[in-house]
Amino acid sequence: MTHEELRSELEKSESQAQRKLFDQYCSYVYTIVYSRLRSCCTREDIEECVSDVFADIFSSYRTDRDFSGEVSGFVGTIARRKSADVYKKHISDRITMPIDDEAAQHIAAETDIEEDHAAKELRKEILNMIDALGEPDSVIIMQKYYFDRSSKEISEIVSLSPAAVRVRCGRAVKRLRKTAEQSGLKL
Amino acid sequence: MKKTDLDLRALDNADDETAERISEKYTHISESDMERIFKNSRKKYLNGTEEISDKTETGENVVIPQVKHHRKSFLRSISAAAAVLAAGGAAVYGSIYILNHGAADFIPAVRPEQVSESCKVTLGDMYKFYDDEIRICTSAFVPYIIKVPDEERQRLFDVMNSVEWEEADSEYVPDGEYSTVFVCNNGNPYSLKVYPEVLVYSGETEAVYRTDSSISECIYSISENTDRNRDLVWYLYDSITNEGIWESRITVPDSELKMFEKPEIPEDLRDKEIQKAGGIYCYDVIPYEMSNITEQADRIVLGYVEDHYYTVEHNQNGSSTPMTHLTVKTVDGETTDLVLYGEGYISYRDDMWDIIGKTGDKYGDAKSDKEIDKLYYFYGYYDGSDSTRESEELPVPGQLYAFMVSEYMGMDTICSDLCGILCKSGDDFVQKICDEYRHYSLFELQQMVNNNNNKNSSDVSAAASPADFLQVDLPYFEPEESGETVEYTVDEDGVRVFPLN
Repeated sequence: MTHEELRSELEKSESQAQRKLFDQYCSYVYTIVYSRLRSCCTREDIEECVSDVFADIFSSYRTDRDFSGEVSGFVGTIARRKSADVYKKHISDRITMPIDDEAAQHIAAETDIEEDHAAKELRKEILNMIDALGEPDSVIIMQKYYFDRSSKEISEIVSLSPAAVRVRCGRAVKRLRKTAEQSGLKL
Repeated sequence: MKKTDLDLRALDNADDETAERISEKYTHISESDMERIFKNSRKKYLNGTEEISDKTETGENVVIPQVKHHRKSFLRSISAAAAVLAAGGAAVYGSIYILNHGAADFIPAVRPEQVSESCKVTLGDMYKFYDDEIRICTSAFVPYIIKVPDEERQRLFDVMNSVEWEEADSEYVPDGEYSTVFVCNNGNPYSLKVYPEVLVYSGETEAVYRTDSSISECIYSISENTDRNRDLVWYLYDSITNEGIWESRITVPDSELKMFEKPEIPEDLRDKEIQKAGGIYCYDVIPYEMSNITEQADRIVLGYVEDHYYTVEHNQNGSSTPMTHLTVKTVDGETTDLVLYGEGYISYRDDMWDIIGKTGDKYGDAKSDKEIDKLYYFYGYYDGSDSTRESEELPVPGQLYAFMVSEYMGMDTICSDLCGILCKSGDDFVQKICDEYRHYSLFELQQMVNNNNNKNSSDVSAAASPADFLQVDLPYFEPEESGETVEYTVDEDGVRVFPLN
């Protein structure tokens, strides 16, 4: 969806425009939030954060600004910032360190361009390997090991029995590990 | 993490490209989860901005201005009034009026938790047009009420949230026609009478607002566009109230719906020997499909069963027919007798009259008169199953039913026995066929009956014939022309006499 389309939809009906925006970007926002919070939050916390992201998007979108192009950049930015806030809130509950602590001086900066680039390449490679498994194995692997879903939940997504999901999952893991080893990766 | 688990932590904190790839192929959010998240977002968006600060904890400026409140002037005044009430405990209505005139251009929303216990249910809370349930009553459809579909509801809410409303005196309320929007806001029912340019709120208090005609136009368009078979719900006149509208929608799962129950054996038959008899009809020809039942029925009777009794009809040819009569109090307050024809209790003597007569009052294994008088048959009610299984049950007293009725032998007869008796459950009327439940709206049933009556209007009396009642298409044979010739003689009286072979 482009900014122009969103503005035109908002002129017609605010709620319907928001619905369209939500339908189009819900998965995208969920993925960004999930990828940030999966290590420290429950699924409910993640859903709550997704709700917050959209509430922020709805309230902060300015129809009087003449933006153009895809809305995804704007949506992604809010999703990243909101999930970063939630992440910090959760982490700060666990670890607190006085700012004048000596150890705090050695904390690395949040952004490291070189590291970011390497991480991005790694993610790309891993996703390529998972994609190469083909469906439904790639879906099973992602649902099981990334989205932490049970075999029963996955069985509903891929329309297989839970037992079949477990069998396919075991075989897919072996194939994926083999491919990863050939590429010098350890999963 | 177990040793056998795959370590996909590398995918955490995904960049745009990765997030896009994952979301396209692998992110799965169920429809119900999506709906919940969306509603939650909308709620947060509409509820307020206090939690949204200008700065995130990362210290970066985020372009998140104050949320625009989409409440109109009267809503803001009501909210503000609630806040004042929380502090001072003053009277609600007076404060609304006072504050309406002194309200600032922007007054933040009052959240329920900020309001004192004594006025927790504020008018401001009640007026949020977001996910409230609504039903619309227009004079064109009464006593049917429009169950507004989600998309139409949203359309109406958008209009209601966007027009300007102004508080007014009751003298502005015109005498003309109006529609009523019944609203259920988190269990708090209220209604809005919508005149072309005036709106009357009726809940715990009453208030009048002036507006433009867009709301009434929207309601008119909703009533025009409505799928009548699906969205028109029939109501008893008495239940068309703020509370009654929502009470009747409470329903039970079909499996828990008690449509019929077995009545006690009549007192005068308790010392008799009662045997189950086979169906009086061939069950292959009794219809249970609603389309066929409505073809038979000439009207629908809505009412409550008050009582029942059994009779036997003695026919001219000496045979007898058992009948079960249901005493029904209709929703119009009349009492009527509806008949389940051919079913009920009948004495052995009545049932076997012709055979007993021919055998000198004895039958088969030579029963004595005493034995014959003691023996009764019970013909069960057709319930959509085959002839091996008949029901002994009748409608439950006190419950509301729709009876599909046709006139037969001068009586109001229920078509297809229990299959023609539909029980009201929630918004629907439910037909039970064996263990299967089928839901219909009364409007839909009425349409089916009307359409069939119109179709057969030229031959209404024919619908009362037994063949029509049983829905039998009697076979018609065109006799072939014979090539044979027969010789005959004519006697003295001029009568033709044919030779017998």
